[in-house]
Amino acid sequence: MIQLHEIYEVIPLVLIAFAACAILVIEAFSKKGSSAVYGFSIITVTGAIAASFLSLNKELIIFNQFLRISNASVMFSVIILAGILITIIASKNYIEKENINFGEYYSLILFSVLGMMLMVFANDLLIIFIGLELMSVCFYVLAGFLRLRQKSNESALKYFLLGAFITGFILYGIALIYGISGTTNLAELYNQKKLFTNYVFIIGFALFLIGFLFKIGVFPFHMWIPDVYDGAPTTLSGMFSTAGKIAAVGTILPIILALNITNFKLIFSVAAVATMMYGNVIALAQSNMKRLLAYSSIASAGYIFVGVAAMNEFALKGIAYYLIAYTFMQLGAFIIVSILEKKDDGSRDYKNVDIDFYKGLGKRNPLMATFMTIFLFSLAGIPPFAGFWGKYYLFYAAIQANLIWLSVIGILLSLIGVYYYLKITVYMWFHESTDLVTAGYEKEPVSRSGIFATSLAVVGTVVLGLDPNMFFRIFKMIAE
Amino acid sequence: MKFDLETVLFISLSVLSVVSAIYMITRKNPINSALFLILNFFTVSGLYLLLKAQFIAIIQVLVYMGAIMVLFIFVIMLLNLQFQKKKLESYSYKSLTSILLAIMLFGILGYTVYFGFEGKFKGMSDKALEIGTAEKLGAELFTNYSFPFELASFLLLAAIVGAIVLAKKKFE
Amino acid sequence: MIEINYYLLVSAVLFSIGVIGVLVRRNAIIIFMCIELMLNSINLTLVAFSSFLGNINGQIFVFIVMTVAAAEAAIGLAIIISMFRNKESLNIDEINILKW
Repeated sequence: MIQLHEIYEVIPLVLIAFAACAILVIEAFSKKGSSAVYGFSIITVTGAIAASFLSLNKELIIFNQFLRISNASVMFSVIILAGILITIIASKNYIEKENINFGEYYSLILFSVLGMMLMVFANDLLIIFIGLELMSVCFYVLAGFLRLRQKSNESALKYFLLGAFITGFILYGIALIYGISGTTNLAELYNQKKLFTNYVFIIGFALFLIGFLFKIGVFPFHMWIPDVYDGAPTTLSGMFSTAGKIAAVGTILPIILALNITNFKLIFSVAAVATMMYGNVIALAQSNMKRLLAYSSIASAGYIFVGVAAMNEFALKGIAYYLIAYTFMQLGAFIIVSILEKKDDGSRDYKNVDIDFYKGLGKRNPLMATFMTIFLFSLAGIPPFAGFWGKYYLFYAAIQANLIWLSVIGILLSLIGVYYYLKITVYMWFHESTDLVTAGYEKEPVSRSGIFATSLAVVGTVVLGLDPNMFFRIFKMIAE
Repeated sequence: MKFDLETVLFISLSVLSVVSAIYMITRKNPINSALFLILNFFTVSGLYLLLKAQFIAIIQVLVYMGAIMVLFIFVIMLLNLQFQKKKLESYSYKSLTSILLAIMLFGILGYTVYFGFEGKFKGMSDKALEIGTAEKLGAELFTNYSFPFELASFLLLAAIVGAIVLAKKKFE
Repeated sequence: MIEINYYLLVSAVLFSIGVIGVLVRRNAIIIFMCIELMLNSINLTLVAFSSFLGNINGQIFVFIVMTVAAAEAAIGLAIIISMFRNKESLNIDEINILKW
């Protein structure tokens, strides 16, 4: 039974759910081209972030044991909402440019956020499943939102077929876990310690895990990432690679920590090494900026799994820190690509996303080039920025867990990554623009909303880098 | 195993469902596939009845066969895939590896479910008949499970919005 | 009395046939139907557990899975239609602007 007083504990969820439906109504009654929906969704997400802090320091199990509110889940949901806020702010200009300025865009984003938050707050496999599907269904549609573009169609179809296929595995895993334990409630599952050695449970959990490894993009299940991120609208690629992945990590991480099946430690380490290697090495050969960032996001999934393999308290802190840093830098880089992308001219292809276009950007558009440099340095893990501390915490956690070999390999592989990030930086500042670019290039006015969104990301990257403990301090302060 | 009515029904239904599934994945024409899939759903619905899940069995017929599969057939007819027949699907060594992989998967799953649950239950629960009824399911769905029930409505709303966005011909 | 193993085995067979179909077939609609077959076979597993455990959780889960299947059917077919409008083909080998 849903009791009224329980609703006060989940105000962010209610706000988002209400706004997702309300946008459809507002859209119907507002004039074409008005930004009512845009403003409304920004206000709602900001409100949801503020309201999230109300539920800090409460260990609650509510809604007939379906939701569980803890500090970790609130933190993950705040990170997700922050990513979504930046995405939405940057979206307006982009969807006007691409002629897809429909209110449904914002509505679907908010529905997917609802799914992500449900996953993070879930205390029952049923809720995890519904949340995952709500998120995925919205993502399939959003990936194909540029309906007239073949690339976008393809991206949606691939994402959909592979995603639905993997849903089958997750569901089979849940069915086996349910069959052997007789419950789908996570708290009850954790109490049946005897189960964890039963091979039916392990097979079931492995199938369940495969689904999440797919959503995060860890090595054997990463194939879809470059294609989908390449074809999807650029701001949304940024959202898929940050908020979508964080939701999957935030769901599976507490479960892995609670079950603490040590057999998986080695598997996670191997997966982490393979993922880092694959992402960093293949990214060297990319000539398209969106694909390059997609491979860099695969490599980042590898770093996160270094932390997952460590399975200790440092790891939890490191992963949380890396995720927030990753949200700012990855999303910021994708948004800059979306700002520089050429206006839709009816040719039905993404223009100006090649690496060659970035040659000489420092002269043509110094502000964007500076921001891009900050994001790329942070992604590469160069000191004063947040990405460095994220990697530092994760590798430190691995060393604490006696996985020294893993952190050594991780550091070496991330050095490979430095090469391609620096290559683009050198292109931007020390190369002349190619004739091809300058000939057809009209300097586009960079919109204020775009600058605002990227500035937010820059501030996040720099401030978190200068004072790495600030994020946790703020949380602690508000909690007290 | 005694050869009573239940056993005979179980064996015939499961053989029919496996055969129809194999036919479904081997047909060239999508319409034939869809029809075999409907046959498969029908046999599975029979298995639900053997498991005393009467309401789920009816819902299977109404929702899966009556709504989802009709949608499939509608879309196949809409797209009118005649010229597809000319382009034969190509099969390569990749299909062989895929089949081997799937058989390995079946080995793992089959072993797990067959031996993992052997003798775990002493027959069907006494409550099985009771929990399969519409009355009991409805009562649970609107009391203890009202939260997931509400969430399912959000899922459907998002799907409706998404389907309209993608399939509508023109937006003003 | 049929033991639960046999129901589960039938379900595993159907699931694997669905997986073979997804991996081998090249027509997007047929692949999608194979996914529906997989989901349906899992429903059989859930109902079998539900009846043998005497626990209603499983049957509620089947409800939700059917909702999800309906939602996915709507979305998936819409994606296929919008793909077909631009490309006039459903063979996933020809869908290759993006490398797989």
